[in-house]
Amino acid sequence: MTDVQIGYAGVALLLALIALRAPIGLALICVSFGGIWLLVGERAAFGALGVFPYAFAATWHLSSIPMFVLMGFFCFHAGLTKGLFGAARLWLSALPGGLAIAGVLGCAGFAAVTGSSVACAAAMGRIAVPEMLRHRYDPGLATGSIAAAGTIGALIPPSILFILFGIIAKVPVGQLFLGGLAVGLLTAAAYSAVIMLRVLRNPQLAPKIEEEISWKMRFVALGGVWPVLVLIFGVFGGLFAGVFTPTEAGGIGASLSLLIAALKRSISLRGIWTSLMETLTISASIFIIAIGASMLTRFFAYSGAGDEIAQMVDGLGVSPLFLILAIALLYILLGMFLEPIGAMLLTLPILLPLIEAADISLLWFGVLVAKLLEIGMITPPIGLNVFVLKGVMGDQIAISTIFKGVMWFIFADVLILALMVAFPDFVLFLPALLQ
Amino acid sequence: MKKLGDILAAVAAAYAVIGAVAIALMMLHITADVIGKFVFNRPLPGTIPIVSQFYMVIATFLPLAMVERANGHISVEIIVTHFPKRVQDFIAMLASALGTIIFALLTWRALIEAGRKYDVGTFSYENGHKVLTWPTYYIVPIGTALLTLVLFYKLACYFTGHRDGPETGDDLATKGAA
Repeated sequence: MTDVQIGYAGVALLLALIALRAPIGLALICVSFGGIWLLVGERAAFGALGVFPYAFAATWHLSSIPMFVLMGFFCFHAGLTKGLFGAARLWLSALPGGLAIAGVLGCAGFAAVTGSSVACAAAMGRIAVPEMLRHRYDPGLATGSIAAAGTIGALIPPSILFILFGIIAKVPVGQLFLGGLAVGLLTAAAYSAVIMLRVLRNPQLAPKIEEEISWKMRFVALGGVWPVLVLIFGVFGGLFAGVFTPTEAGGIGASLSLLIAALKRSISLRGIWTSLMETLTISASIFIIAIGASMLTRFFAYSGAGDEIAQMVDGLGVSPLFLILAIALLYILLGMFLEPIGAMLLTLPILLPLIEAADISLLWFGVLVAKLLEIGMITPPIGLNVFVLKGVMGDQIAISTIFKGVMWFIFADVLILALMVAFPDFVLFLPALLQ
Repeated sequence: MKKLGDILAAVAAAYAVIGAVAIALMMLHITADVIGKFVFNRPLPGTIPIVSQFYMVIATFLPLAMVERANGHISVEIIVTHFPKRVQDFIAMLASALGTIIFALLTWRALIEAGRKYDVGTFSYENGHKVLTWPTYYIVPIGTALLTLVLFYKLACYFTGHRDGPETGDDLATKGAA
């Protein structure tokens, strides 16, 4: 076998192992170890095994992941984000489908303290969906809007996907966060528009709610969410103004949320301990995959397969647009079976050289990949967010009902993707402002 | 066999406690450094090497065994769940076997690497402060050795027909953390 063939065979073996439920981190480490052994020799393979795990884990930038995750868990266990939906629904009561739009905005708010779309969908699903069903909203609309809006969690900062992408592609995390913020806000606006259009066409989907809401009630509700708003503006204001590094922003965010929770007496010692343990579990299970991905990058570089693919793409004379469309298709397909972090870590070692060779902005590409992977969270057969909603609702709602409800939002996502490809500046203008 | 499983569980839980404490310390240390830097114009010495080489390495490698015991490592379920139970168990056994081998090798190499760092007395130098970092290299083999044992225990359970009683994975929010 030639070196390049070993590279391809490695990727095929990797996919086979993952399909057979080998943990993704384990599969990556095994294949990369074997591949480097075959290509360079025993010494290099054992050397990589001894050096890579420590070298990848012991980095300052990576430590922003546990810090932001911890901030999210503190906010969640202290109930700091509970008021978001309540406040949004009072302010939006006049709009058609107001409760569903409040759910979308609640998700967008929760997204600012969590980097996970599953966490976002689960938290809002518990609060917003029962409220919508109580007011006789269509179950597909109620669950579909929250399942879809959960994906905003990984777009609006903080986002674990962006931190990992930034480290691997060497793009500043703050800039990725800003690009993601633009796309996340657009997504929230587009989903709200979808809800309004659907309800205007068919008012039975969301019956008008007959209740007197005074301005006083509205401002009282707003008073309940100000600590979270202060937290968000402090942490991300500091990050975007260049005062904090991402790690510092995460660390400050975690301690601030704990402080707010303690002052409000809304977190128990047990809640604090649970937050720490959950943070630990999530971080470790992400890091072991990232370590494997860093070894795969080395193996793939040794094989020269990346260069060959880049030359092949170049030789075919395909335009960057075609390349992007092909990659978009690949991610949507992968997103149907893999969870986003695994899918991203698995593919970047292979795709990044291609993107660099085609002279495509890595910042823009990172935001695009996050959006594509998040669409995979709501498409069949394994839309994780859809299953989260199903888990929250139990037997009340069939999984097919949720998938049908989500379909409308996928149309909106396709339009957003088209916009991102047609006008890259839409993603790039916020990061450019701060450069 | 049961006793061995209990011991492994206890050690894995103890490792996790150390990991959780490391996360808490990471937060406090970073916060103290930021306050020191902006309020007193005096950052905490050695924050970067201490956070990245002590807390991060502990938080990455010590919980691996606990996550494995709870079957919490991220994997793709969709295809295998359609197979009969016996085939599923067989495939899980193969994964444990592969994991035992590769993590045993990794532990061995990480131990050699740590020995090298010990021999030269590796340290970090930041703003005139010296932080000894060679001890942190031993955290990798300490963590992966327990992971290897947990994987080997699962393998042994398959062949002895002993029921491996892992904790339920329900409370672990690891799936789809994006």
